[in-house]
Amino acid sequence: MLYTGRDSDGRRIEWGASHIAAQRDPWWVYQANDLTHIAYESLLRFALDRLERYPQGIEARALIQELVADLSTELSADVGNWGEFVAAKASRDSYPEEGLCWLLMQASRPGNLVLATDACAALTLLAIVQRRAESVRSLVQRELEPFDPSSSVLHSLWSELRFLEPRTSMPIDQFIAELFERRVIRRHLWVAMRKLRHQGDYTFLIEVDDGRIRLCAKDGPVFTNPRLATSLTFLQDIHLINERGLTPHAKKLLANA
Amino acid sequence: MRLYERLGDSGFHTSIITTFGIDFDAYESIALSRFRGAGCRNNIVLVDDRMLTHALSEALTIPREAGRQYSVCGVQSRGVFHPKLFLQFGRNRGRAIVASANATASGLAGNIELAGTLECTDEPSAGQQLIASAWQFVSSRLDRDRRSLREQVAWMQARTPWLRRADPTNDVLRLADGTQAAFLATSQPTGIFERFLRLVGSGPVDELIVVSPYWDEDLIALRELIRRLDPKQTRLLIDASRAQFPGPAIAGLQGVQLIDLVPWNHERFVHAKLVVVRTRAADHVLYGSANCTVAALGRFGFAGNNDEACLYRRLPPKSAVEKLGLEKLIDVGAT
Repeated sequence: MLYTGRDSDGRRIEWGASHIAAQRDPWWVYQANDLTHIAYESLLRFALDRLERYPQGIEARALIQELVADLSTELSADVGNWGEFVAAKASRDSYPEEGLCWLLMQASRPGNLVLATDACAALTLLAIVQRRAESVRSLVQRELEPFDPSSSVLHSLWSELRFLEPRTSMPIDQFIAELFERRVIRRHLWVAMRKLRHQGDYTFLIEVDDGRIRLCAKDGPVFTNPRLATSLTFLQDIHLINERGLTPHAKKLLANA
Repeated sequence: MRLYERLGDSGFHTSIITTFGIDFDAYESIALSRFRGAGCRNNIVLVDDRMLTHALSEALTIPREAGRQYSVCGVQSRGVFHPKLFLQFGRNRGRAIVASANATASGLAGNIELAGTLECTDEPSAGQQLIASAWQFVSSRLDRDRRSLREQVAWMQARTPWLRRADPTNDVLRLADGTQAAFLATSQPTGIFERFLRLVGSGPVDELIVVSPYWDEDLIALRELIRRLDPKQTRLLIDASRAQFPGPAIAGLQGVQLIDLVPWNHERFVHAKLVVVRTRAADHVLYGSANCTVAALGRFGFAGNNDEACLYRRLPPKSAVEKLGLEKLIDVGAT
């Protein structure tokens, strides 16, 4: 609701006091950032599922060519570049993000495969979030740029806007290939390498050896933001709520707050 | 043990790594950072020439510190430049890790690899001679026309007096622990295969065990091993899902047992290379970079095509399987 600004019946929520609206803004950025993350992780999972077909490995370029070819067959023939794709998919009035996320999470459940149609859904999610973020660009910049002004280390909705926007007129096949190479596969390897270097954790899902890349493990996508259900469980665990609402303990704490 | 954990030890001023493939991010983040953190500032990487070209043109990570914090040099070979040596030199100590692992993230931390470590001080010892042998092999592959490399080597040699005095040898030497060892590389007219079999000798062979991720299409090297050794039993430990083992080629080989490593380990790629020849007198062990292929090991009358580096160890009878932890694998995978 905080992300869409609408209630479950689709009615627009009036925020009233300005400090509430001000609180909602960074929350919106947080959610949009997480949706970008889900889109990318779903594309990574698509690549991992494809990589599984090559137990002895495949050259990265060949894998990406396959992924692009598969996605191209799913895309409408009249989509020539990324900008046209964004224009075709993004709508300011409806909010398909929740449905797309549900589809992507189902597709990536254990035993399932992320197919080209699912990867298209991930691209659609990315396009929708990009369009929304562009409409509040200064807000996104204000909230996320300070974490990494050069966008060289921390990838976020802001860094991805800076990656996506200059590629609006790039042919769609070339765009998808760059997206997979630079923002999905190379990024995964970079993050995994940092975890290995600094924490000693081997979290590579893709391994590079003998000039080939090979599947190591499959994972994701997962939401990184706090979920309502887990938040409620947490509040139950610390005895602040129960099935009747606030507990006497919680009321007492509130009274003293 | 993770291989890279050994790279951060202090007391070394120079490191030289030889590798077939390279992942620059892995080398710089995992190995180089440890070398430099331990005060080792003179660092060199030798890579197969074609794999270096691949890494620079098509790979997913590019070098950031090459030319500034270390030198990287492509090495041409008749086949492939394939040795995986981690040489570390200090004024009073030396180390050679003879391994199966490339300078990649999976090689340094992810795969199941096999490595042997030789250590020495500045006092003459068998270990020192073997490390000098490894250096002699690497030195023969250095491009001396590259001035920066020449200067790095001269700088190392000026600060490693024991290496100048050490006597490299191809002979089998007795190590401090009482076992015997030899450095076997493709720097001799005879190949690793032939020299290994000479070290094994002519006595009856109880068992041959081979671990290799890559094989000849027609298993020639394996057939030659079996033909020459005539073992009572042969066990091949393979990763059936990922290794390139030509199953049909095994037809006609008697007494060969295939053991799939996947039930024991389904996530980590088994990249180790190992030959164990068990006799009544000793366990003869060969490990390092050489896969069980003719290109790597050679055969009688043919030294092979690749540049390879291996360590030969002669251990007490029936001890190698246990020392290498193979008993468990064989039990799990036996079919």
